[in-house]
Amino acid sequence: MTEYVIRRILLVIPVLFGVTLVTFVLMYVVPGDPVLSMVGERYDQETIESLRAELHLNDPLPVQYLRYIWGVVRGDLGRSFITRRPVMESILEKFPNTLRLAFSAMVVATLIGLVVGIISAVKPYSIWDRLSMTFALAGISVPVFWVGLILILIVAVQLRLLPPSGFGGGHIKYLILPAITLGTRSSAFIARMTRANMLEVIHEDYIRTARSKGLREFWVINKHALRNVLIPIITVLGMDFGSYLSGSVLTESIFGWPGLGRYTLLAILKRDFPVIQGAVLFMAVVFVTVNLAVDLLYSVLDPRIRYK
Amino acid sequence: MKENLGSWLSYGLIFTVSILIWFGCGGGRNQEAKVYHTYLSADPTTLDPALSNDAGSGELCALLYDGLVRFGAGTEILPDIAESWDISADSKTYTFHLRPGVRFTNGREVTAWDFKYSFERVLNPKSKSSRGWVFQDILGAVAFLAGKAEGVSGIQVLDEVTLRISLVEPFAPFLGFLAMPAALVVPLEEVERWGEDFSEHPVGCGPWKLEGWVHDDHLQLRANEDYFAGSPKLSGILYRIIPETMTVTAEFEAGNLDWMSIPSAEFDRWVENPKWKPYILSQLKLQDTYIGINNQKPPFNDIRVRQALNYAVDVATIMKTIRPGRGIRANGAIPPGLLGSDPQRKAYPYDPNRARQLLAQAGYPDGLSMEIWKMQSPEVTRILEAVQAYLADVGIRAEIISRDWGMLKQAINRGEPDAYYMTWLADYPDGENFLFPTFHSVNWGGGGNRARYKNEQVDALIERARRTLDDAQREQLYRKIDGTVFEEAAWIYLWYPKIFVVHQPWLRNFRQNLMFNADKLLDLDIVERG
Amino acid sequence: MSPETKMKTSQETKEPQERLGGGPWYEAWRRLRRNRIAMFGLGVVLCLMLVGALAGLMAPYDPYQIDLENRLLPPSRSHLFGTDDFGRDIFSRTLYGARISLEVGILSRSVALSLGILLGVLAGYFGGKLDQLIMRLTDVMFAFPALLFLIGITAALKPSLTTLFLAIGFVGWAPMARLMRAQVLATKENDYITAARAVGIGTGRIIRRHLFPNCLAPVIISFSMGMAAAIMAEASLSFIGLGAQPPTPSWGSMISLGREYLRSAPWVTVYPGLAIGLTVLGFNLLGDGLRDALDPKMKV
Repeated sequence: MTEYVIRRILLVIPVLFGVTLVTFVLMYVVPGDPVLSMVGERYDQETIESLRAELHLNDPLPVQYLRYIWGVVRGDLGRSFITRRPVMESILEKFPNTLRLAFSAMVVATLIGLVVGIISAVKPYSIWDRLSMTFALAGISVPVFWVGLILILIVAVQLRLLPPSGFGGGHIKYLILPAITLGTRSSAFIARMTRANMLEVIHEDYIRTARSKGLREFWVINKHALRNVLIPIITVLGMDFGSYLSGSVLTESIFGWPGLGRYTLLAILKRDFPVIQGAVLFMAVVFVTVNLAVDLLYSVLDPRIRYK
Repeated sequence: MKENLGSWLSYGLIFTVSILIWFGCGGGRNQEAKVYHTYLSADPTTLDPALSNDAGSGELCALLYDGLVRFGAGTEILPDIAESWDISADSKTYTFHLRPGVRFTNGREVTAWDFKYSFERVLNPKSKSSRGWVFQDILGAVAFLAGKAEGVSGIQVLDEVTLRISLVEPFAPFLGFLAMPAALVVPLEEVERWGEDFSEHPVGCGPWKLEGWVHDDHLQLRANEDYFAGSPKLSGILYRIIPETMTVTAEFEAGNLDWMSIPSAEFDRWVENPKWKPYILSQLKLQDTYIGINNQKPPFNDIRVRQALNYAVDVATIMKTIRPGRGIRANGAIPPGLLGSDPQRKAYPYDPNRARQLLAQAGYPDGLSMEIWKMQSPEVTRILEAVQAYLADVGIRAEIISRDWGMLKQAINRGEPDAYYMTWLADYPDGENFLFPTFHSVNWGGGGNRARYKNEQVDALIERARRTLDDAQREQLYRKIDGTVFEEAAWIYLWYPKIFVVHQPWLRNFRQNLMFNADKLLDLDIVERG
Repeated sequence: MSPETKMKTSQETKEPQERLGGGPWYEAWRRLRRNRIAMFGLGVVLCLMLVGALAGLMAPYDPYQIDLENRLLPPSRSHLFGTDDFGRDIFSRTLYGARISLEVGILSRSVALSLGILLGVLAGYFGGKLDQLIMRLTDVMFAFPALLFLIGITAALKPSLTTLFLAIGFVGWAPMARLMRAQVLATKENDYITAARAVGIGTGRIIRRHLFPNCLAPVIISFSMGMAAAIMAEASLSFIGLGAQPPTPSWGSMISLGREYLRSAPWVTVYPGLAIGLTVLGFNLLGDGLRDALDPKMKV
């Protein structure tokens, strides 16, 4: 087990290296001068030249890349071209907001998914089942940005229950709509999985035994069936968690949520190279870490899975 | 049973952690009565005046720092730290007499040395400022920039409270340059202490101090009670960062914001509402909205083709529908209210037949194809989509190309796009700001003449106007230059934008100014918040 | 091991299927036809293709015709879905949008599958260093936040439909490459193939006769499932403004333009979103059904 973990971690290093290289190449081979996005509408050529020199942009690309990697190794991701703020500082500032949104989305997704899935499974092929599964299919198919806008339209604009967007200093009422938006897709998946798994389990023997012992049906569903649903749910959440961190780009930008996704999106649109580099690398690190963690969690939850 | 417990525990743990994170981050709103609640649509890029090159950061810098002079509500330039100044007979030397006893918020007194330091800092490549051009007309600035001199010879400290600035040649709008964000004064010791992080720990001598800055969420300013002109009436300002207009509207309606800019999609709803009518203000901005044409690239080097473009677009209808009431049709580059604008000049009328005729005369009876480049922005997309449809009407197939700001500028500097959408906002309130950078041929590309307009006669006239100190004469020259360029249709002239704002009834002395960085919010006040 | 890789391992050990012919394919079609939900998906997809092909005939208005006097009209008999902020008929634009979505979907899937198949076959067939390199590359692709990668590419290159399908295709090749590699490895190690090789049957023929028939099913499944993802990606990019450029009636950019009028004219936003939902739903259902029908072992 330990050996397996170490091997997995070692495998991650070339991958991260590749991520920085691909990002770097992608940014520098395409046309466009990053210095020009730093300056205002009026500037002179001397300023541009001296800025390029100050930022070491005239060095050969391999030198620039090695300098960057050397910085990364020391934990320095450089400074934003536009705001001159250290990239690491900004990332550490935005990441908790993204995490907070991602966790809330997971909670929302699990709650909605379980409830809808259980409703379906308790009376399969009933009208409730059909309604729930239609919801689940729709949830997977509609674009997340559209869900966000429709929620804003109904909840914030028509009913005026919640603010349409923003961070509001972290007040919970600003969190609800983005969390539901981000969680919709996963909740639909979870609902389908819950239903499938529970239907399977309900036919199994030990449930029958439990029922014959006179336990109330509610508890039967809860204790035995749900246990079986747990692994697929963690799978969905684990797989989606990675995409929550980067995939929240759209949700974050619709709701003006100051997280990592929106931060990176703005940096791409402004060609802020150090920020793009740093944020992509950071997300890749989180992504591979989460994947590893999910795989390990399996082995804890399901002893049948063994590692070579 | 034991297994069940374990799984439930792990599930419960996730749940609890999320709940904790939820509530852990909760924060309250500042309910203090004398705090002005305002907003910005994006986190300010910087609070370091040397690095400020956008209106958002310029506006904030004006609150935190002071300069020699500052803008008034209109085009006038008022004394700030400089109590008075003398201009030599040849108009090349300015001597500023500083107010004694003005202090930075760290307690140290502001001297003439601080100005010399601050100005040279902007010119110094190490500061990574892009505003060097502001001081480039000063004697010795070019040598300093090239590293050939220790200091700028034209910036002389005569004594602690007297500063002398010598120019290479007379330059009428120079005083306005000194009211720009780049010319605000910063204390050397603080800049050196914080280095590149000075923007996070700004120290100036303005009426407000930065109290807290949570990036992408809010900034808090507190009144500087020791401000030389007296403490502001309010005790603080809360700037919230709200990127979405819909949220701005909701927050304003809930009374959480003291003012807002009226979004174009809801213009009628607000302007027609009797409840808000008394609290609506409008202000014409010193800004051109235009589509620059590459004047050198065939077929657009033909005046007839450029004029045809102007006749082909029904700008009035676009304004009426897409931007109701939110601007004045452009009839030149110099916006109304500035010296040199010409109310007599007629804007290009919508005349598609004339456009077709001109195209045919120029040798394009079947129309032509062109690319219009633009920045990523839904608002701009909307405008250009309409322009595109009008051009299609006269046989011009326009393709819209979105690029990021850096790439757009690079392509334009190289003269690649046929045309590009751009705005030009005044840095200082003088007609020169709309002629020299934009139409003089030395400024091709980054200098501001992105249309690559070149007319030697116009070049000579612009140079003469810059040296002319007499306002009446200068006005004549400005009008002539602007008229010639307009006639030659260097751009597709669109409009001068006008903004509409609405404020809460409890706000007093809320004003809109011509220049974005004119307001120091000294007498803004709040009476019993509703 | 993640369930994804588990799935693929089960493929590696699979017996080579019979050659393309009546039997198994007919069987698959029979299974698909029995699956009512999948048939619904197929119906939606066929309808969309019809709409895409005949948009010109079906649309009541010119989708590009600007009519500033009739902007933001609510849905009515003359404008089923209302008009947008340029007075264009949203119903007509939505119909044309189907064509764009399908185009981008099909082209980008083709790019992704060609790249994936090529790299996967190369990796599996030659093995060694090349295999290592390609597999590490797929790891990198998986570690990259896909949407941001797409945004990066489209922002860097000139945003247009061509850029769009190339980018979406380029970002999506990795899963296919892994799948193909596994297939090639399985085929290579099969006794049957070793025998064929011993008898002197050439490489090309082995690939043609044994590998491709084996891979056809996963490719078809991947194509259909990937269509949904590609259409969603197109919509997202156009929503951000990096996809189809105006005045192209792409669903994503229609929603993006409607955003500002959400309060005063919600129909501008609502209908294109429903169109995306229906399309993606169709391809998802069809993909699910195809998977069940073609490859019962892959069932989750």
